[in-house]
Amino acid sequence: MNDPSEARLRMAAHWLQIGRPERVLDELQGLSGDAAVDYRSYLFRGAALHALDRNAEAIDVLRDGLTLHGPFPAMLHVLGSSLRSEGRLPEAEAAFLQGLSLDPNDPDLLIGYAHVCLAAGQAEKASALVERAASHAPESVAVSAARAQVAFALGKDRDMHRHSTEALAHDPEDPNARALHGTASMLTGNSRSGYRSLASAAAAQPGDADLRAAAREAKMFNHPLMLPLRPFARFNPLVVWVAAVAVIYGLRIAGLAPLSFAFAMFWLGFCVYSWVVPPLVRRWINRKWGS
Amino acid sequence: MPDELLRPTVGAGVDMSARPWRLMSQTYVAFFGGVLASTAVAYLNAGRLGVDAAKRRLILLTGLAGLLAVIGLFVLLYGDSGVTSGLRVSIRVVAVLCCLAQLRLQRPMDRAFQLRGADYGSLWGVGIAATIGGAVAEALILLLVTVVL
Repeated sequence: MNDPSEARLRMAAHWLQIGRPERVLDELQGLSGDAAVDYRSYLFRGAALHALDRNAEAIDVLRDGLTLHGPFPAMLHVLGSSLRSEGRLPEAEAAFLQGLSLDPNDPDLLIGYAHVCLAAGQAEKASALVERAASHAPESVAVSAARAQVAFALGKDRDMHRHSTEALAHDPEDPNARALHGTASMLTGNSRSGYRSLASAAAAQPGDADLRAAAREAKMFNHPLMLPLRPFARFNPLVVWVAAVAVIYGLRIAGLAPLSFAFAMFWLGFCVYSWVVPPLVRRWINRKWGS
Repeated sequence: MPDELLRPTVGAGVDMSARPWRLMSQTYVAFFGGVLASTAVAYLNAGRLGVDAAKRRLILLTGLAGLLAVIGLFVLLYGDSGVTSGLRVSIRVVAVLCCLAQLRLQRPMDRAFQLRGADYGSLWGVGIAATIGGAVAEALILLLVTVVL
């Protein structure tokens, strides 16, 4: 292969590594001859398209590459991830299993397969896969982040917070780890650090509308006017409501009717507050941020 | 030795085009619409989330238990003073407890849905219809109970 083509492929790998997928595609556009059908050309193009959320195109490119060059783990990994993003879970599973038949202990493939199981609602199996990946790879941001996602799927929000904190300790700059840490902080009632993590994750990935919305929601929770509503964010509002009813009727049964009435009035005021204030704060914040 | 962990288990059970509703939105339906409305919405949503058949049956069972509890409370508390605030509140408490159980049954698949990163659907139309329909149906059932008594 001639040198300019090799340089382009190296450049494409670099752009991919620093998270500039559109530059990868530009770089690969200029390839011709043997270099255009090099396995790296298929792999990098597929990975870039997957990063740009153009998964249907990524799947086509990667399947062509696999037909031409035969199965190998890295390409099957990106193919499986693209199929998962497209929601084609059985096909994604087949891709990861094909990769794992070549190397049953590849940590990336094990974690990729775990993500498919999570999307299919099989959190226990996902957990076992992540632990197997952890036994073959030194502790890494990917393993901790995957553990955090497993904990989220299992509804163990405190464990999610612990694992996402570990992920951040491995790599404080990783946007995925920051987003997980932010979500876990919000779920465990720490909206201040939740906002910090979500806002920095959203800043690192400006194209992600969901992250932006989550950061904005977290910002709202930190507003001083939202402070009295913390119990609603911390517990299920229905549980708070049942507790209030129990207090009101408990006081009445105990013969403390005036106290019961006073508490009921306070509760009524609190309910009105909880209905009126959040939309107002949301509007103020949206006006400041620009919708 | 075949590796158990690397055996395919992902069926085609998850419909990715279905748009389920937020679990928190369902609490409003339960609060205003009662046990029947809550059960209807939880059952439909469980189908959208891809919850397995056994758990969906369990949702219907919690709904049935809730309805029986509501009828029981009505028989106990409905007296000469008619429908008191205590009766109304206790019927609502049953609906809310029932809803909490139904949310718990949906939660694992709701978390899986969130990890898939797709968007939720809007519960406004179905929610209001279920709230009104459920409340009317429950009132009719309780009216029937007063006739039988």
